[in-house]
Amino acid sequence: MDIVKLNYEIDSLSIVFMKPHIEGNDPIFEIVIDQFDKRKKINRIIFNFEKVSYINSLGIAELISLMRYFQGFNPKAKFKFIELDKKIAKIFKMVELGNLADIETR
Amino acid sequence: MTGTDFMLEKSVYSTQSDRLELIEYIINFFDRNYLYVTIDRYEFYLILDEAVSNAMEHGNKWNKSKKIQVRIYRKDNSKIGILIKDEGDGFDTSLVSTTPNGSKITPLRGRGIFIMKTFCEVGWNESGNEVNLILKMKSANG
Repeated sequence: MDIVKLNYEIDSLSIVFMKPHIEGNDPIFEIVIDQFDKRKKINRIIFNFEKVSYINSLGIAELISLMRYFQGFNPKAKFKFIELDKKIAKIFKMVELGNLADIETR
Repeated sequence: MTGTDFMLEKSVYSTQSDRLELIEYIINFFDRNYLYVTIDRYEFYLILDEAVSNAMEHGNKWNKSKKIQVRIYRKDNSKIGILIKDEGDGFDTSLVSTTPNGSKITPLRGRGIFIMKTFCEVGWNESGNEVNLILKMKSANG
């Protein structure tokens, strides 16, 4: 089973999480940086949580690590979390991830 | 917690599979004993996960030979406590912030603790290697 899929569209990158739980026990960060085409100029990174029903703080740490990584390539890159379960969105807002990315629920 | 009658005492090794089994075991224990907490199932699972993951990650460094111990007790008629202890050196609990701080919410431990504190009372023993989660119970009339 795929853990994560990357899709490119013009200047944006969409990262689709394929497993229902993000809890720090899958090498998401390593997979993404391995698959990321570093030659591309990316201005927007969209994290798609359509298939995700649960995330804990270890999973949130993975997301923040990824955002830092992409900011290293483009400090002006914009981030967006889409298709979020409402309960996960509540947790994200609670830990102030809304300061780092736009948040859209399902 | 000497002299306390524990409703449940259980130890598991620090592995991902034990982590998941333990969380489910605790939730099933609450269900079997008609212990209804005021937070919902998602929030209950999340705070247990944060506490257990914290113990396994920061306390035992995912060392498969190290255990964490869980004990559940009645604090009073309206509250129930869950003690989770690891074999680590503990940490300075005075450094725990009560709110995240924008983009500075980088320390993993801080974020997990903040989530726990949002949904229940949280305390530690003196050395910082045992967390005490105190949950409110639903009253008999809901």
